[in-house]
Amino acid sequence: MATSRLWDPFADHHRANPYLMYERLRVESPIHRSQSGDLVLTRYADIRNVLQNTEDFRAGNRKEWIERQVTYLHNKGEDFKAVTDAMNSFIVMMNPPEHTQLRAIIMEAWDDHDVDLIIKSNIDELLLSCGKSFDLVKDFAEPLPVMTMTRIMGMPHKDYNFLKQVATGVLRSLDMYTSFKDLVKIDAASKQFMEYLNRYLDYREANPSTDLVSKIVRQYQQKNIPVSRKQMLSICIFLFMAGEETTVNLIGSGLYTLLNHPQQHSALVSDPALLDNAVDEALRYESPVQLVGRIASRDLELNGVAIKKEDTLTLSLGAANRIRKCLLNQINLTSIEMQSTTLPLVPAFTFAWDRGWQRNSGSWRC
Amino acid sequence: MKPVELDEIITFLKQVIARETKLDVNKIEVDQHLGVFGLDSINSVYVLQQLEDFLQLELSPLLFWDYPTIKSLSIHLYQLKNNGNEQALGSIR
Repeated sequence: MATSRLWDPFADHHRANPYLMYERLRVESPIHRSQSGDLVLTRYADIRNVLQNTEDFRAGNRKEWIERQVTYLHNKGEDFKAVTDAMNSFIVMMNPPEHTQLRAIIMEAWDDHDVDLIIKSNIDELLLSCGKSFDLVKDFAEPLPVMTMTRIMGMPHKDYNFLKQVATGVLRSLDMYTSFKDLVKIDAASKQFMEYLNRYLDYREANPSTDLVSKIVRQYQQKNIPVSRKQMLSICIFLFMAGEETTVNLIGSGLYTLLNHPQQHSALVSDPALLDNAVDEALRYESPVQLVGRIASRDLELNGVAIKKEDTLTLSLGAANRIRKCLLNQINLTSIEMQSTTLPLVPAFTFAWDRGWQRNSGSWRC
Repeated sequence: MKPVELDEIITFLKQVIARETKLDVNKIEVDQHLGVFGLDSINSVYVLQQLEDFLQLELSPLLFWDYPTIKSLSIHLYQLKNNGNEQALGSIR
């Protein structure tokens, strides 16, 4: 029989609430060798150290695993090359200096002001279409990031449903575990997404505009950095889907948290200036990305635990960001202390992220 | 659906693991840790798929690690298949 498992992320009760599992891990085995051999980390300080130490811990464990898997299956006569092609330039799977270079190009092409206007206009449009009673996740949180990225990247609005479908398909490549059936689906979505983007890049090269894709192409030309079509396809795929699930999770669990904490909800409603802090606090309290992966680049020791070269580390951001007192169900929108402890994620591509499991996918009406 | 006997599951597992790891099927012991045969995070995906097809069940990606011998795995799968005891794995995906 299976032994008692500290790490059991697929159990229903842990999906519904992983924080008790995290807490037990943090107390009993903060650097835990899981049944599948990877090390699961739950302490804030350990996770911060690993994320900051890019010399000893590299990003890209999902990409490396999928590359090995695709090679293995190729020898069995199965072709999943589209999956590795789609992933070849995912920024979160990259390491310095390539990561630094791509990040700089995206940041120069990215215009916060333009993006804010697009987001605001999309929010207005969605709220107008929502009516008095609506499903927050399905009718608002899910369409918002896809509509936004479609506009930021200059693609036709009519393609939005197709793009949502293929982006959601490719996103599964970042799941913690991938089955053969998952690979079949990711492969199909990757092919469709790349075919579409190939035509789109042809069009944009002939008709450059002020959209993000044209600006990235221009950045490469101005800096005289060679970039292949294959790389551009992958860069575009990742940009499109990067904020998709994280945004849905943040909006859904953020409002859910507020509804469960009526005093905090009232405080925010009566003082909208608290909003920025509230978003940070929501990111910390219910991390939209629960797990990220790293690979050890050499043999080393972390807090007395021996780590071997090529060991995979699963970093639980969800655990790290919920410090002990938060287990008492405390959130505090006015706390500035929290801001210094939160491991930031999405806004600036600061840390590589990996999908954990979709805890927040259930939708509900409000 | 036709019930599957425990022996059938054991025989199937031995054959499929032998094929993937290129070992003689007679060398596959039911009490040995699967890792000893060379089952790893890469080839286990293919083995799991064949097992799902054989049993017509959706199985946990952590299955081989949670039940790390052919014996424990077969008993678990037998119960899962024949007793409809799918609760533990009910929402793997």
